[in-house]
Amino acid sequence: MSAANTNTGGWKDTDIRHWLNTELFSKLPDELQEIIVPTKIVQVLDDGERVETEDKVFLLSRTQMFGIGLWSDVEPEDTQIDIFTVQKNRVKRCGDKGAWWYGLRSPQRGSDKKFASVNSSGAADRGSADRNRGISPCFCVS
Amino acid sequence: MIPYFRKEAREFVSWAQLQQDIINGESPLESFDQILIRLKNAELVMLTVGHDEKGKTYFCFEDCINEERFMNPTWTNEGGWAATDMRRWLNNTFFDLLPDELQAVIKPTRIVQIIDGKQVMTEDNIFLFSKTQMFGKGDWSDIEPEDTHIDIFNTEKQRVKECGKHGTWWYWLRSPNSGNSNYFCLVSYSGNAYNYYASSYRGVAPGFCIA
Repeated sequence: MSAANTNTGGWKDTDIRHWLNTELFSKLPDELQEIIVPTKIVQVLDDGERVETEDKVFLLSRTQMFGIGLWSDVEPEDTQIDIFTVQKNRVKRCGDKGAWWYGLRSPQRGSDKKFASVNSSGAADRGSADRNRGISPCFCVS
Repeated sequence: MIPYFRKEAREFVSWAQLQQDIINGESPLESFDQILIRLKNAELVMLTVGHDEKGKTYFCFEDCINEERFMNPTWTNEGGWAATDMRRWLNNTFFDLLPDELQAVIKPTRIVQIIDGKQVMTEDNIFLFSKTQMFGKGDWSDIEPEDTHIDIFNTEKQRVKECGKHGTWWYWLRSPNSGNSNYFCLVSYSGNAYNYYASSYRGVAPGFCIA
């Protein structure tokens, strides 16, 4: 998520957010780039600060992946996405690793280093911000 | 134009008609097609169609049934699949739970394992899949020489199955772990190959054929 092993600033200050919206975005087909609409993302950090971004390409949040729960205070505008209600459907492949961990944009409350992630069996996990994990982003067109 | 794909909706006629179509070489089924059935205990089961390298059509339980089972009541794989409690249970107690129309068309499937150097053959209405059918040919395939890979199990992700309250979960394969007298093979909740004690309760995701 970030080379500096920190979740300070939340999703907004991550290296991966910058990378997704510059390098990865530039690799998308031109006709797709033209229609992608920035998505508003809101996080409430541990210090109570409300941080808002608008991103063309983004990682999903823990709430979008697992539904509303104790973790959802940090992302008050998010709701679950219907294709992730079954654990099996949260499992993702990552190159020659097969099923693999991938990162979510949600900082772990009470930690200054960790972000939420999904493990190789589709369950909720977390990991330090400087760990290499799979990347499975998405976007909206309206 | 932005390409997008949507699976064509096709009408399910009857198991008997489906069987006849497959026998006549006119199967309307493609791999990953799905059919929903309801067991006599009211449990809903999604079946996913797959084909092995010989073109044989399999109906594979998309997820585990609600009940977890052991392969044998004790820590042994002696006798292989043929001697398992699981095989007996699937082909008696569980078979009786299938809809009558489906029971009427299921054709016993020949299963061959090499156990202690001897060929052991069974014919089963309902069966667990083998490690070779799940993971393809490998150094584990000597004990199941007639089995080939089934095309819907190409990736770890496609091998992951749900099991009731567990979410994704381990489920049994019919292959004894060669070189070990206690273990059968199974698939982990991440879709990887594992082995474990035959007496452990794990998920059950069987399959059957109708032609």
